Amino acid sequence: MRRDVRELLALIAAGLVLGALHLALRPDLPWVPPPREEETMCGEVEPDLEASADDGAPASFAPAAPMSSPGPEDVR
Amino acid sequence: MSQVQEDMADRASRWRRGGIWALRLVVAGVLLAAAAPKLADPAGFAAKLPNYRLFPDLLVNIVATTAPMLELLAALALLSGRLYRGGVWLAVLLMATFTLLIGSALARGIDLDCGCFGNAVQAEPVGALDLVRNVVLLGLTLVLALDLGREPAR
Repeated sequence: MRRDVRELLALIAAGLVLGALHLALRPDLPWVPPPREEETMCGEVEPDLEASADDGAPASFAPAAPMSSPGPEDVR
Repeated sequence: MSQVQEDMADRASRWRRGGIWALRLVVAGVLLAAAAPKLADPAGFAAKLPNYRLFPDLLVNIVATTAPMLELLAALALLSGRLYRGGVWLAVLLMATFTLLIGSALARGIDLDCGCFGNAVQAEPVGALDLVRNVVLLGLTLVLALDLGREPAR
């Protein structure tokens, strides 16, 4: 069992070193990529929720217009 | 032990070793087929990783180059017999990780291309079939792992 773990760790370490070397040799792949917009499989850009809340129709939880209080003729 | 019993045990052992060799070839072949296109085009694979919504931006590129390298090393260990035991456990680890990633994407309803074989296959949304394929492959690697307890089949 100890031999299994030792061999597994050796392979993982070799993979990490070779992966880092591969990354260092690729000028098109920076170590830290710039932030990018997420895309789904269909290529649709995820909508920005804050932006969509600012424009367009008012949010459903906006305060409703106050109802008029019943006048004396309605009470009768 | 009688001669007949010895012959039967010998034949069973030969069948088992043949089966294990076949499994090693299948698992190593799948790992090589998965690693080669990703090693050839790591940028293409790196572009697919953020869609899992699990990896921080900082790790995307290093994962994109390290994961196929680990697949390649596991395949070479299975084929050559050098570091065989570590290679089997690495294959189990990789298959379990890929299965969890695909399962997680399916559970969250993300319609991503899994990127399992890089850009070698046409991009299609990940589905239940991909999950079944990975579970089967995980099962095959577990059979190899269980066989480690017996005599080494080199």
